[in-house]
Amino acid sequence: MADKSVLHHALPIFLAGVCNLAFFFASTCRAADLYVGSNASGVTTNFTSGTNSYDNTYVGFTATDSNNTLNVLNVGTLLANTSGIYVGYDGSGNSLVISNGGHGGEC
Amino acid sequence: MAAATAWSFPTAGTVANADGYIGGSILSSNNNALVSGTNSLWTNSGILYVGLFGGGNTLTIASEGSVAAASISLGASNGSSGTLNIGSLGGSDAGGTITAGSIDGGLGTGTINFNQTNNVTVTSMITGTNLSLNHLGTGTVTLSGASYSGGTLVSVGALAGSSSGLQGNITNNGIVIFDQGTNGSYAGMLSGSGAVSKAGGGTVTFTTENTYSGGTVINYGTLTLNASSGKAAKNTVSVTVATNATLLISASEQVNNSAAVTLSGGTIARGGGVSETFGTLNLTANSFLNYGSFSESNFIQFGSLSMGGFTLGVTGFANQNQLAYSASSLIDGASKLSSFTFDNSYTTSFSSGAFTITAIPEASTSAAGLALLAFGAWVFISTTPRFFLPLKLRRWKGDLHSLVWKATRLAASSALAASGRMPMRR
Repeated sequence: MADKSVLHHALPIFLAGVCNLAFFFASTCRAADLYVGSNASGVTTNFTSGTNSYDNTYVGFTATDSNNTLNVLNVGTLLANTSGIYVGYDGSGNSLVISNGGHGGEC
Repeated sequence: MAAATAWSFPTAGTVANADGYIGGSILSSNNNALVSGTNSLWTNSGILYVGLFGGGNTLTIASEGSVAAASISLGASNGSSGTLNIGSLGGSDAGGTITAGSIDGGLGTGTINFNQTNNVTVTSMITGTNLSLNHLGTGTVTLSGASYSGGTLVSVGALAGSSSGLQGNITNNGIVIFDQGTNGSYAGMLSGSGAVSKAGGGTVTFTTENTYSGGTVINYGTLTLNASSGKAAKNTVSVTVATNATLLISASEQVNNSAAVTLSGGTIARGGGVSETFGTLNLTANSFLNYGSFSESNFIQFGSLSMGGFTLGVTGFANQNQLAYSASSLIDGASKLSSFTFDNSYTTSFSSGAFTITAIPEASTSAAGLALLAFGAWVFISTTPRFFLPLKLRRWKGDLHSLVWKATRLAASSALAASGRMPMRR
């Protein structure tokens, strides 16, 4: 899991595996771009609280990035992008779920 | 969907960005986004692309989720495809809210599936020659404005809108409701097994042939049938016209000749030079036929009558106009005359199973003025002197006197029943 120190830097964040990002004490996190599955498949990332800010968000970046999922869950959880969000930039079978259903796995 | 207001923090599951992409490049396919749950929100200050270049990309808005965008693009480029699901495809959940200026089909294939169980209103303009719309859920969908032309399927439930929103060919196996206070026309083809309904005080004109086989119900306002070729209600099984509603036939033979007609206080009217044949006529309230005061030998014909004790007012019944209905004999036909009120004099005849009532000029202006007796209105028994009954009534006083008769022989064209009683009228 990418920790908060990384998130506070304006650097790309590459997430792989199953991540549950809950920023109960950090109301704002800022980084350049968010990649959920870059050169990776089957990555699931859950935002479950807080404000998470990026320039761009990519769920599945390259052509081989498939079946990656970004969940934005729960009241008060915000994913803010100053530019765009791409669900399958080149990849296939990627998902964005915006819901108040609210649960995620371990990082 | 119902118009949404601007979002504010904090809300549940919120994503905000400039442009959004579900399926960015030609290499990306079968990507999807789901916005589900009350207060879940995806705000795109720019365009939300569902299938910019890739195929099989999907956006689903369900269970009161919300999506806002300047516009939503479905299948923007050649070879791409994008689907917008309102409610989960194959599910049984509610839809959500879209706030967008338009939902646009592009050069690829765009599809909107309404799967939801609740009623939704689409305020966005729907455009695109390759964009199709499928109504698959049980909730009613109301379209405000549309110019898409990729076709519409109503599998179940009701699709409503004005003639500005209901466009192109519609395969209708549910209900299509034209609801508008202003006048407009529909020039597509309504097919399928479903029904068509008219609501709102405006007039909708069908200008092309339609083959839907369900009923045609005019609840309010006017439905005008005026197909330039074929019949505007070719296969409709029934026609129902309610109080404050009118079915206007503006070209001859627009309705299935077997369509059962129920008048519940409404009016069937016709344009000039128009004849129309219906199936059986059933009255459930006092209702009207308006012939439009066009003097010509055109007709409105029904099958058998079921008047239910109500009266059918025949207005604008001008010279040579005809009203016909099925009868087994002249007497059988004449027995129904008490259910009509005419605003002109008429004669009657019987042939080939049809009892025909034909408007004639006022007696004072025609040699055919052989008016004799009345069944609530003046009845002319013939236009030829041969059948004139030289009956002279003297010293009768209004409704104090009645004429009682029983005839053993009646001419074939006589309007008289074999026996009866009637008050005298001046």
